[in-house]
Amino acid sequence: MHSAGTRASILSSYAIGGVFLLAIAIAVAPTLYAPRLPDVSVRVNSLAFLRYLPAEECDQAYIALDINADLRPLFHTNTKHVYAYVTAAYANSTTHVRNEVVVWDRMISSREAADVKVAKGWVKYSLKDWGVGLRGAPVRLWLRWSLMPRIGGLAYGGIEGEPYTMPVEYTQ
Amino acid sequence: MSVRSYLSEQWSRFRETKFRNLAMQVASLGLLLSGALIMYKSCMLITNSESPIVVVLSGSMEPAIHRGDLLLLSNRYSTPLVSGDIVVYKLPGRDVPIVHRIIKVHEEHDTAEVDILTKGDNNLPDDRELYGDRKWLSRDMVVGRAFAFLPRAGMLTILMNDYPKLKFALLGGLSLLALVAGD
Repeated sequence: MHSAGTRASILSSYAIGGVFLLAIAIAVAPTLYAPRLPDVSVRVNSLAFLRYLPAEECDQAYIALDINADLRPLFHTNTKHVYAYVTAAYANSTTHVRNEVVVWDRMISSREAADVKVAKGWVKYSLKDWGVGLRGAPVRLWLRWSLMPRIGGLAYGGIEGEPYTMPVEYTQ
Repeated sequence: MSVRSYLSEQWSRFRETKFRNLAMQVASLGLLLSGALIMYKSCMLITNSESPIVVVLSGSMEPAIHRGDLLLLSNRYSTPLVSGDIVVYKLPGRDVPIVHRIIKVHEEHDTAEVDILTKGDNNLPDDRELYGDRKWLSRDMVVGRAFAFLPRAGMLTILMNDYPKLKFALLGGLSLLALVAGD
């Protein structure tokens, strides 16, 4: 009955049970209290050009953003990383009803780095349309975040910034 | 009763119980395995995904997701696929599923079909090069959207992938243990 084998087996099953309970507690605890929404504003500062890109047969716009996002409330005990990104969303009446393009992103690994301030920052990825639907398109900007936990459920969120309307004609 | 008949009786009983024990162990091992299979298949039904659990095999999503991390996927959507979602997709003709993030979604007007472009957080270019001839991913190539994360839980899979001998040693050892261990 009291062989080393049974002892090891009982001990390991207790240990595995304990680790599971701890993991569940870590994953669930931060969801119990209501999260404070981050303070966010994002808007288009300026547009360098809106043009037709023959190589890829699509419209391309290059913009600079003002981003003011205090994402520190997102960092709780179970936050490993926050992937913050800005999407440009627009509808195109002829071909595509829902277009969502990531134009800027940043991986934030600590609470200290989570107070994001960008003044006239040219976007990382130029805004390329599927086809030729950018002229005159009303663009809704969103600052979104994807929260990577240490363990447990992934969380997403976002706040809408100031809308922007593309020029009616190509600038180049 | 002679000593000889006693011994032969004991011997046959021993052989009989031995066989029964063995049969019992094989049956319980089979039960365990089929139980695990039933669990996995149920998960597939619930999540509507052909692989509801994936082990991340590459470092292209670092620092958010490392090699050996485990992702739980769902292919049922209360909200549509949006940019920023971490998805697993399979390209036709390629066995290995890829875990990356959506950076572009274009939903067509009439058909409601979506064209998707993905990128690994740790990669500089987007995934167009991986797609081969096609420019966009279509909806049916997406195996599922990640909804939960278990760090390092798939490390054993990574090790077994890197050292195939370990897989046989582990499987053989475990089934041997299950067969010989009483109770």
